[in-house]
Amino acid sequence: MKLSHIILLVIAAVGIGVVVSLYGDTTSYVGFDGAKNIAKDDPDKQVHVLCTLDESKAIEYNPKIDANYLVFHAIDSLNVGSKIVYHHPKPSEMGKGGSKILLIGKYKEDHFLADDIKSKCPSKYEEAPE
Amino acid sequence: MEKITFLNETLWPGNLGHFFVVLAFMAAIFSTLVFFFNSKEQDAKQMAWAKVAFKIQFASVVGIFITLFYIIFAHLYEYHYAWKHSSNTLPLKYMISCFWEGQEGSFLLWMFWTGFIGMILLRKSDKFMPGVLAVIAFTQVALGSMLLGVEVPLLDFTIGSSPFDLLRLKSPDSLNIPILAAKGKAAYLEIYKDGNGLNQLLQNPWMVIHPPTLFFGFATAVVPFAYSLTAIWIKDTRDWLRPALIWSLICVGILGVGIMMGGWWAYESLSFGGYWAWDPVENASLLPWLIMAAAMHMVLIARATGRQIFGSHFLLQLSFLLVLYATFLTRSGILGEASVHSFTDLGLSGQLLLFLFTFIWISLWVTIDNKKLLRVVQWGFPILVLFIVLLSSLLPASNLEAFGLGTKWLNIGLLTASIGGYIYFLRKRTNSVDGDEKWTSREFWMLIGSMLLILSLVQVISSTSIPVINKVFGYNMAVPEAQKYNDIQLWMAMPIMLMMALGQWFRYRDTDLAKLKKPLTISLSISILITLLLTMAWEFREIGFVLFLFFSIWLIISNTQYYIANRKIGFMRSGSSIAHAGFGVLMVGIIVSSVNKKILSASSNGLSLISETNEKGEKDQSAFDFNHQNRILFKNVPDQIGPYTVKYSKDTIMGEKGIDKVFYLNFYNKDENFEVQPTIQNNPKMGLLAEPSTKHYLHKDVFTHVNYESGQDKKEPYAQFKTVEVVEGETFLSSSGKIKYTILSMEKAQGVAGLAVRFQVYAERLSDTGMLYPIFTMDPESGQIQTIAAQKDELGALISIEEIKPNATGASYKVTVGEKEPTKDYVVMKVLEFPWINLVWLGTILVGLGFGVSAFNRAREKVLG
Repeated sequence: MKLSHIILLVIAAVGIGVVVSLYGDTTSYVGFDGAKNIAKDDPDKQVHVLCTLDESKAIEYNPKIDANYLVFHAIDSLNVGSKIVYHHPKPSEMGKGGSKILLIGKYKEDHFLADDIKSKCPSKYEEAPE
Repeated sequence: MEKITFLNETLWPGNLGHFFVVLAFMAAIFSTLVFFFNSKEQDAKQMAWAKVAFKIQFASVVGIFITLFYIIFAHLYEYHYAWKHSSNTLPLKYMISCFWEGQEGSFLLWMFWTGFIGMILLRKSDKFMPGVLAVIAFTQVALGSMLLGVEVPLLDFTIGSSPFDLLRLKSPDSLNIPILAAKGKAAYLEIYKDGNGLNQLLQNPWMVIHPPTLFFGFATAVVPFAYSLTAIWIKDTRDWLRPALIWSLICVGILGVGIMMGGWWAYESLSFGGYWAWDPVENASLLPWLIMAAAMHMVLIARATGRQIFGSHFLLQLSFLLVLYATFLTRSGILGEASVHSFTDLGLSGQLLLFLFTFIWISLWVTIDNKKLLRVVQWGFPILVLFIVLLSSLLPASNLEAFGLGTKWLNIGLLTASIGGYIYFLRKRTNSVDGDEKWTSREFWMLIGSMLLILSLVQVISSTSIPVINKVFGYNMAVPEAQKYNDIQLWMAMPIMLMMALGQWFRYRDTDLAKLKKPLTISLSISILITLLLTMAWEFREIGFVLFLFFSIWLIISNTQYYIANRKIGFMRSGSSIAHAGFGVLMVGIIVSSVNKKILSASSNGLSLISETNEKGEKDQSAFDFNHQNRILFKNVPDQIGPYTVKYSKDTIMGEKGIDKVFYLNFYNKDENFEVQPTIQNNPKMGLLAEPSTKHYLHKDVFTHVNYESGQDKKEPYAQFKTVEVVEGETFLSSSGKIKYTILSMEKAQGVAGLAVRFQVYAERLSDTGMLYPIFTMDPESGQIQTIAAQKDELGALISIEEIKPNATGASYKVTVGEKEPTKDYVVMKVLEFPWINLVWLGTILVGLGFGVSAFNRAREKVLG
């Protein structure tokens, strides 16, 4: 067998290993209940939750007390609500009705601790005459 | 339906544009066919026809460009494209950016470059020319179909999306707004007098140049693909390698620079604080680059030794197919939630899929030499694909998912069979020279390096494709975070850099190892020394970072040394040394600017959401950064941020629409003194857009970004109004007694008609003081009185003069004061320091230069014969 073939096989094996571990390691989109269950098994595992802002509850952000502390409530697709804590300033588009929010983080005790929030305002690129 | 004659519409540019679109499409079809039928044996007359058709095609594409630009330039908002992407106040230079804000415009750009490249290749008259141009002209057919905007009769389906569609036809709702009910729909243009405007983030000089560069890179990828196919088609073994090499060098160079320009733009004007975020859109452009870089090295091996001809074909073809795959990923809307970029789905996903599959089919069709199988593939493949594409655009989403699940194994089987069959036949077609690469040969190291590049690609493509896999196989996986890419790619890059450092020292076929000992010992010892020094200076702790640094340094040193040792061959032939060393510089820049990135704005104020000490009881910097990245800074109250005292001195409202707020922040300490001006735009259509501001030094950047500001707080109204009658100089209190006012003086107000008086009022609240300037005016003829109140939110004070009552000694004034809790202006911002980030840009320039020199040199060699 050629030397180069052996090395190529090794590289291919590493490649397969990378892909398998990658897919084995991916998180799924879950609801808040799912996030709670995952946190019980593995408190550090990141999950993705797709939800909408709960407009009936207030958004707390008071930068004069803490510029890195935001609390709001959201409802997932199964209609389960949760308190969300985020360690960054309030995203500017938050609070505009009906926008979907993607939360990335983990569940802690009574709240979801978000590392990252990606929000997409559905009206963002829609045309509306002034 | 009633027939309305719409007023003031300018229809000729749209008709002209449509004419050009159709002409370009037809001419491209014609030249594809004629070039194809001449690809094995050329007929002079037919070739002349095909060339003319191709030139007409290119001229039409230029015509589309000019027409569309005219529509944008003349603010013809009856056209949807102009209305959506432009506005009256848009500066001329950004009118060009409008082209690539919309998808139609970016297809147009791609078509322009492909046509341009075709025009260059048209002048060659070798045996490859007709075949290559047939592929290029066919690419123009596929791209042109994206712009057609022609409805298919009976089916509710439109081919392409025309940039010349009228606003009222493209979005009929535009005529159904209440204000037009009164005016009459015919006069709709009286309402649509201004466009939507270009996204603020695209109004950046880098956005004028980044997309054309990137698309030029994408467009060049078709040339090696075309040469590869033509070579198989006309059974050429070695001659095609030279043009394929030149064009793949151009492609890797330009695409690489284009990608990094995007990084620079993201760094300068986006909010994520960095130049690379492993976002799907970025990854999508990286995929063809990685493969093209690997393919280019395969072609080098093939040219020098006659081996790896199969590898060259395979990777060059794959590279262009990945360009198409990337286009599908970013433009079909499939990435959806996975990306911070926004995607407008034009309903072209089916067509994009068709685009990709058509070219896969062409690859298969050219490669398979078994007649029976060819017939099966020739008809079976398109029918199957058409079926799937039609189904996916007609079936509702819920059924589609079930369909995907049901055919899961069929899909996997078909995919594996096509790839396997393709590789089998391609191997059969390409008789390479037999024999083993010796490990002492250059080709051995290049081969391993190329494989490692592909390994790196495997990780990127499998992560980026997760949304596609979810859709096809019905999974529900989430896309990995940027950190995961960094963790893996850190280790992937090291062996690649090792190959790049060593590769050139080996000769093709075999090398005298004794000759390598001395230079390698020198470069190794210098690199180890520099790495040690830098590790200490930069305080790298993790072994992975130190190793990465070592390999990047060695890459620079080794290639510099090679350049010096071989300087006799001249600058023009040293492209590879320059590109390799440049890549090393880029890597050093990446590792130091990301590992040593400092969050200067981190403060210990506020709550700790996660524990800031680790198990050993030491301070955990990453947890600390997690908790407090942003700092609040009050206006005129200097604060210590990192090594700087920072003062938010003022802010101004700018921009034509008055929605841009610029903050002036002064940074100073005993050595430095500078001002940055981060901006936020409160865009009514797109929400709040923040633009960072960065102070560039040679050895570091200080990056500031406003995430929140006091203007976003809900404004409390003034209350507790109280009306009193006072005279000049008399001190009086607000209703709560907290604010003390004194009217100091009055003067004639400047620039106001009639009898206008401007008062100077001194206000005092605890230790804070300030001046307020209310204005009182009276129209001398009508006697109408107008008062302009003055307010100062920092004091929570408001005052207005209601009446002036003249008396014997002068006058007394009836005054109303209001109050509320004082509010101070503030910003919440992030301040980051990126050390040595300029190495990233320097490295990019060197890599681009290296590829440019190489491509130029190879092209020149050909001219010299």
